[in-house]
Amino acid sequence: MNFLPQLINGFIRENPVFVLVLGMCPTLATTSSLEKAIGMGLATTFVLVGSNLIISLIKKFIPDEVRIPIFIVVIATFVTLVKLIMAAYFPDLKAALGIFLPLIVVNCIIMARAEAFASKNGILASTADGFGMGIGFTLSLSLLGSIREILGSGSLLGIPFFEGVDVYTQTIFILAPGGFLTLGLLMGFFNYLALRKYAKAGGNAGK
Amino acid sequence: MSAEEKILFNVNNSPHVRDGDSTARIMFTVALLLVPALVWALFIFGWRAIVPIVSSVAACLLTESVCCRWRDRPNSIGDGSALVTGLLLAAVSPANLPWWAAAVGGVFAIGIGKQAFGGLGHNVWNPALLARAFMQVSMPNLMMSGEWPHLGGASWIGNLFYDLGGNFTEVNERVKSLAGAVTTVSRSFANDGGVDVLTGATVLARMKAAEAVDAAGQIIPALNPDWMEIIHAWMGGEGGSLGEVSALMLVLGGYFLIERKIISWDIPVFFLGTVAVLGLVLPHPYRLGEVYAYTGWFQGPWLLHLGSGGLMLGAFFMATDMVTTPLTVKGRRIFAVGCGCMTILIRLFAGYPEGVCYAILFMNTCVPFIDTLTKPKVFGKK
Repeated sequence: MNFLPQLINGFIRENPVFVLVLGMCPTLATTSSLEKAIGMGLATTFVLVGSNLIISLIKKFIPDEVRIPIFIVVIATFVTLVKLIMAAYFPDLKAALGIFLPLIVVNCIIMARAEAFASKNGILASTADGFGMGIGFTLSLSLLGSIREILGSGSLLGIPFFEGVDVYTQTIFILAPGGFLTLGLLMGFFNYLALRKYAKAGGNAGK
Repeated sequence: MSAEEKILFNVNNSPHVRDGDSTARIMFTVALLLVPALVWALFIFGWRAIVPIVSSVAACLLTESVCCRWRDRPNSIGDGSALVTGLLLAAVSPANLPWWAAAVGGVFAIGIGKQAFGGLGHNVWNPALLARAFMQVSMPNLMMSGEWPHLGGASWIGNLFYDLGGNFTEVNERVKSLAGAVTTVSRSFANDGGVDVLTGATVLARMKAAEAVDAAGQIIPALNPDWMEIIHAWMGGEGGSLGEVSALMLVLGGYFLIERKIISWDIPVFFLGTVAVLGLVLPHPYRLGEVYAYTGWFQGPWLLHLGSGGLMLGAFFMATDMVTTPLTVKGRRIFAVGCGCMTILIRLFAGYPEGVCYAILFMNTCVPFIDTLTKPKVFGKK
């Protein structure tokens, strides 16, 4: 198993948000600003790497019938770690993320990678996969978060572009409908890119 | 097979009988019939109301051609639908909307509301109304400024309705007594004591938010309007969006739409009928100090309901959009009655003072279901 391809797999080719369409709940809920998006992405990355590593380590001892509860126990352990660390060092971010931080436990990406990858592959590959997927998730969330924060609050990382920018901001983008709009448009854009690449490679994109 | 036989048995798909109608002809007629209402708006609000009109039309046309180019489709500016969307969007925008905000609305209407769904004929919602809903959430301060008709300059209607020859205080007092709600008047710099802009709650907002009983125990005009107020609402004496100030001009345009057979009579009639009946019958909530109370049954100001807000615009120009309404006659009537019910429910019991926009959008969403339910039976089938 190659380390590097597994690592960059999650960046674009199997991007969890735009290609696998996993973990839509945090994607929509925590991307109203870039800061929240990065916080959520990095927290998920940490949990993904940790759970993938542990699950690939203990995969031989997990009885098939109870594998899902065991995955959740492992994942919940890491989520609790993240939660406590965040409460100690980034209390504002933790408050901003709110309920979506403990909800990482049931994040589809983590469950999917544990089930589909870590329980079948070696330690190194699983860790690389978790890291790649986590970074891919973080990048997607950051993209969404930047667009929504720029359009919705006229700022980036909480710093406004110029004085009085809030006259021009489109408030809808930091609300729920704006999340759906941005996600849908970005997904369409990435599909368009993929189809064009496919067509250039000689395939018939329309069919 | 010889050449003659080929011509004899010319097999073709339906439709076999065609008339001279085309998308472009219909759209340009609609645009033309929208003009009286917009000209009336220019007359009332003054020339600066041209800014949102030009800006939203330009944004719509530009977005249409850019999207067509992206999608490798022939440019569909010529069919006039983008022009109509632009004009309708202007009609639901306030007069003092900045040009860039109108342009944002135009880009959203065409880009997201229409082209993202696949262009004309594929959109689920009326693009102009979708953009209006977007702008209302996105730029609430700009969209709900509640500007009243232009009162400075040569606006005779101002003099007629408000006795505006007087000074600042007099105007303010007059409006205050009329509106019974908080009203702000800003003076222009170089005006001869006249008033530049007047903002305040529209009659629907007053009906909803203001305390309905004054100190003397009388119900204020909004819930118990005199004839003057009803004439205000119908002629454009009330504040509001560009196209909704004059119900009369819209009825005029709507009449010709029906006369030219571009829309059928049943949607406006059933829509307006439902609003009138429910507006008359239903008890209206109002506020008495800290307590909410209701008027009795059969006491509603139904003429005011008909003449105010975007109802006429919605009933004649928006709810009759061919793409976003049901195909069957029965379905269209269900659709129109649904629009009327939603409008009155929102006006009386929901958060916003005006409900036409959301009512039509909501019923647009239901169109596929209505179409399925009202599918005509094939002759002979049970």
